[in-house]
Amino acid sequence: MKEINQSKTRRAFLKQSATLRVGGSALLSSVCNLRMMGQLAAQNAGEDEDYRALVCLFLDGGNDSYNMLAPAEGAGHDEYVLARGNLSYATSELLPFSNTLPDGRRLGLHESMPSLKAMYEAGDAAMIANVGTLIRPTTVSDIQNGVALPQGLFSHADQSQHWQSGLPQDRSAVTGWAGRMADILQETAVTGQVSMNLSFSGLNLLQSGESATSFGIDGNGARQLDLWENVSNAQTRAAMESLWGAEYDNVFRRAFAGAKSEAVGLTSVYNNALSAVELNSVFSPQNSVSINLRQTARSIAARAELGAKRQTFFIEVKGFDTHAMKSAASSGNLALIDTAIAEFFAAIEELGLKDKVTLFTASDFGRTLSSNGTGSDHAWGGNQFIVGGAVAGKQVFGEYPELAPGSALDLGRGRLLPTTSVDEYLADLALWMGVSPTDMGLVLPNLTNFHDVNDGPRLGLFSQA
Amino acid sequence: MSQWKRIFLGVMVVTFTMMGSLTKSFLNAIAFKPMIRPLLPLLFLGVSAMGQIDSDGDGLSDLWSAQYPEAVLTGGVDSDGDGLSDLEESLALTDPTNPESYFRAGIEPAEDNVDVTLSVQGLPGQLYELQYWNLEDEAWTGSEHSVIQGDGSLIELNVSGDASVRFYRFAVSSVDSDQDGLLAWEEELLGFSDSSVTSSTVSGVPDYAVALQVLEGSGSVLLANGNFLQKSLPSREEAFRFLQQATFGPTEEEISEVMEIGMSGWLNHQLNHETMTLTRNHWSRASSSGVNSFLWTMGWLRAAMVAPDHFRQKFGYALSQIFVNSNLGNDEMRNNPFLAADYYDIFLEHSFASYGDVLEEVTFSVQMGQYLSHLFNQKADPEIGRFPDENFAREIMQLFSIGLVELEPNGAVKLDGDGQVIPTYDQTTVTEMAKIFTGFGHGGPRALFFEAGVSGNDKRFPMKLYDDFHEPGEKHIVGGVTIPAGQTAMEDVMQTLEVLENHSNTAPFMARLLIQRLVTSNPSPEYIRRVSSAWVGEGDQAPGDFKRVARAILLDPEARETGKARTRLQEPFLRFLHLFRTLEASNGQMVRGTHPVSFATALADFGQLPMWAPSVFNFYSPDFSPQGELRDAGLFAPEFEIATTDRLIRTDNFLRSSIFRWITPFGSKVEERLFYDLDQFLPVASDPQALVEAIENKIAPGAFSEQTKTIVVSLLEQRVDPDWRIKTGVHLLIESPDFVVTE
Repeated sequence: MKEINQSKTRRAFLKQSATLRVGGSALLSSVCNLRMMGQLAAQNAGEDEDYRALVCLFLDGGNDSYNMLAPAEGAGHDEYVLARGNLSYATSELLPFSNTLPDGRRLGLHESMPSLKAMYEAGDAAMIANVGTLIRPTTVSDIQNGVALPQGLFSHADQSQHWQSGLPQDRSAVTGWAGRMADILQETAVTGQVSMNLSFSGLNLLQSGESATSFGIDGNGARQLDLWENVSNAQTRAAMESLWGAEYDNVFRRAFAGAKSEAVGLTSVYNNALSAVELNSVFSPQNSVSINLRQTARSIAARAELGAKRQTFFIEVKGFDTHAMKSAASSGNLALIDTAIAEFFAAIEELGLKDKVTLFTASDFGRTLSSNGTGSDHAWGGNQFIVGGAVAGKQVFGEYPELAPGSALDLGRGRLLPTTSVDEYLADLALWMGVSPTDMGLVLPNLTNFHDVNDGPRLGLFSQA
Repeated sequence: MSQWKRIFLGVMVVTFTMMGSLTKSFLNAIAFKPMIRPLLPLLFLGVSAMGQIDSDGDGLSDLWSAQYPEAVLTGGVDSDGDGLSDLEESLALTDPTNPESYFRAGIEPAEDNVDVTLSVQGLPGQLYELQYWNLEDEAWTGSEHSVIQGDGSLIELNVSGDASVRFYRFAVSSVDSDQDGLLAWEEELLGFSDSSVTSSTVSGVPDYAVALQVLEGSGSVLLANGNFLQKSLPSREEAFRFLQQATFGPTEEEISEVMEIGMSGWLNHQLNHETMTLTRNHWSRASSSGVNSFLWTMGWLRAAMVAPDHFRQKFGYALSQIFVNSNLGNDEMRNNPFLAADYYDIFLEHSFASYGDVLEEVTFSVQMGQYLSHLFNQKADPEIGRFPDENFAREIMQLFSIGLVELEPNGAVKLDGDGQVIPTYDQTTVTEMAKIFTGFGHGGPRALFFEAGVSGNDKRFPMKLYDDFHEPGEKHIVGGVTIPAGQTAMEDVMQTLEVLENHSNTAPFMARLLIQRLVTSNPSPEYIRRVSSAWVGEGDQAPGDFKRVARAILLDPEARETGKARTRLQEPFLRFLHLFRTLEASNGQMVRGTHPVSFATALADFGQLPMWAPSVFNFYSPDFSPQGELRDAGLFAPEFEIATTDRLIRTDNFLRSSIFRWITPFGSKVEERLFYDLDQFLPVASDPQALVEAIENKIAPGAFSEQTKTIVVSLLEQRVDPDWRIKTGVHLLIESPDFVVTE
């Protein structure tokens, strides 16, 4: 069981609350303390409040992102149709951007993403083109010369791990970049007991640090022991607390008792912190992404009660491994995301935090441009997007590649060599969250192979520093 | 010559010291005057964790106790009234039923009439040392005489007779030089040797396992000392603990069988039991229900509940957590659970064959070819930038055979001259190994060319090798071996598998992983060494014989002795199966356990389900150590990796609901709901103490501390409703640290 409370501040807090422990009332005293802390924090809240949150939508299975963001007219579209064959969408199925790439091509989003298109046009969303896992800048001839490549290219397990670890040379990484970021930030950014990393997928690589870990929640909050809140079970509850608090000779038994007690305690702390949240914005009750983003917004709303000035959220969206389908647009997955994001940012605006919250996508890999007959297979570089009031919107960052079969980046079957590395993309996010250039090496060790962060952000994804 | 004097003070001092590599338990007897008694160190009794065979944990060697079948021997009691407790007599190897038999020293003038001769009866396998009380240091000190090996004759030593006053005593110690869990005298009695872990006539099987078999065997074995050894069978507690390691949960029938024929006898039966394959189970159900991914879990559970080859099922499950293939990363398998069952059958059909068989089956399995992508892996074509896929080549080394770093036979990490670990392979090795695993296409009658696809259950056929698509040329593989050019793909692959099978790392690496799944998270180096040596075998025995290995793992002193040495956190999913079996879940309509069950949320609730690992790295790492006390103590605790905040709570909720309500089979038909047999506790529900003991007796006899039981009993006293008492009692006990962490 990972220890949730890492920072000295919070250790001190815990120590203090431990001294208040009387029988089974440890939890109650912690909650009272948190409420007090929450009120203190709330006094500082406001428009210029020091708060930031990153929301990661991880599109599981490898989003066919050249069908999400595609050339929407003219020769660019012809080239796209040539490359994608029966997987391609007609211009009428794409929503063209009002601006064009420097090379004149006009891109557009799949028609199932009208809200994202609107946010792009409003300057609140940007695209990042042809991103993928890399260890160092790599050309096609580098590959032929045997340059070190990410482990397990084209494999789901490996590539989704690398996106999360930021260490594509290592197949057994045990920490992720958001976890390492929390190792650094949590000390000053979090005064509550609950981790700044909240996960809708339980323990995950992305949010696991050397000491930081994630706190697991779901669309309804944090799941508590069924018997816990019901007063008729008070005696049972007290007996369970006695079992956890008892002395054990066996260190494994002590560790289990501690972990279970902590799990139940933190769950109460989290749920209590959110109990007073009132959010009027409406979320679609049938949309699983909406449900998780609603809980994300509620957790953000309770930031003061949770004692968190920084938070990250990890949300996996399944169903992108479209071997036998034109793309995730066809399954309605992109539409679900589009709706959910619009609802989420409406809620964030209601909270007055539009400039403080950024949502971004990640995915295992892009998919082959060429068709396997019914769908596409695992590839490498792909497109992502980022949304939020702080984003330098209405832009396509990186280089949107030529799509013609046999183009310079085509490694066969339209597997495109990435031109922007995952590190370059993530570094801008980490800087925005407040990681200092000196600490960046701890968060993204490979970044120095691409960019000296002392020169500022690599891509410039944010209009505000 | 000697005039035995009973001048012994009734005080024994048992200490444990390391002398050279010997583990010694010293027994000291004082010669001379009673007045020196106040000078003696305090009485300290205890038995080293290493050493004698003591499966009932009473501190007395079972081999010694079983020579006196008529007596009820207890460590602290002096059964024959000769002043020495039974424990003390067991250390001195004297007869606890004969008041004339006790450890004593003799004294008489030496022949020169100046010196004094001190004597003690030496027994084979024991070591004796004469000590004197050093008045200046106020400590017992070894005399100028060295330690003397007993051989059955009288040991006589001369000491100076002109000293003013000197107090002497003899210390007797037992040793276990080969660290196989048997003391030298025990091995002597059985006709084994204390110089080798496998010195019995049963080739390749560790001595401790053989000794256990002798003890549990059919009575009246003649020992080297002329005594007859009577049969000694395990208690209910020990039978239960053994079955908890060897099965998915002890049932009453199995407990009775173990208590009747012993652990070694039960294991022999199991190791020779007919295989009940999962595929066959699965088929019968699949034909009537259509195909979906839950059929796999349903078929698996059915086998876990009803298959009579209990140990095979458990061992196969352990293997499936080493040779990991997962529905989560294998669409083909998830969409056709027959293929999952077919892959899993490798472990059932070969679990008591050899490691080499399993490694070969896994290598040629289409399901593995899909999972680790060596299916359709082909020779390089640099023109188009295609190189052999390295996925399987890497994992077969890292996870399925040798691991990342060079190991000693006891599992310790080897270091080079600079104190650095020695990697077993590097990226070049991986690239070379990847060339070996090229040319795999589908097998079976309908696969006619390399890239031929096959459909449906044809994917059960092992992959074929196509020489035209196999990387030609020499390959410099792991262990510095060169695979020559010009061979067939089959020759390349088989030679490579043989290299892995015989690599010096394979035995300790695999031994540790299997011990972790079956017995303890932190096996001692000696334990790993004993299992490794069984793995390697003797003479021309094939390595990795799972029957030998299974005996070595389960019939090892570390597995059999009670206590913390065999601690681990139970896998959450196995905790559920344990309840399911020990509390005899049924729906009252079908015979217990013959129905397939599944449950849609199990993976999320437990964080594990057979063949649903998140990656080839299994549910948890064998090296995982949670932050805090465990990590500080350098202890591994793999199962803690999935004991996350939400899972700890979800598992509790799932199990509580299974007690308070029912277990919902997949499909949730009301008539298929399963209920534990809780009515069996009704007769004692009016007495909380008796109720808690009755539950304990069913789910984990001897596992609960008085402290835990007191907390639960006090809670149950709060209400009189028998239904509430039973369900609450079961829930609190199965979620208590005493139950969740086994010892």
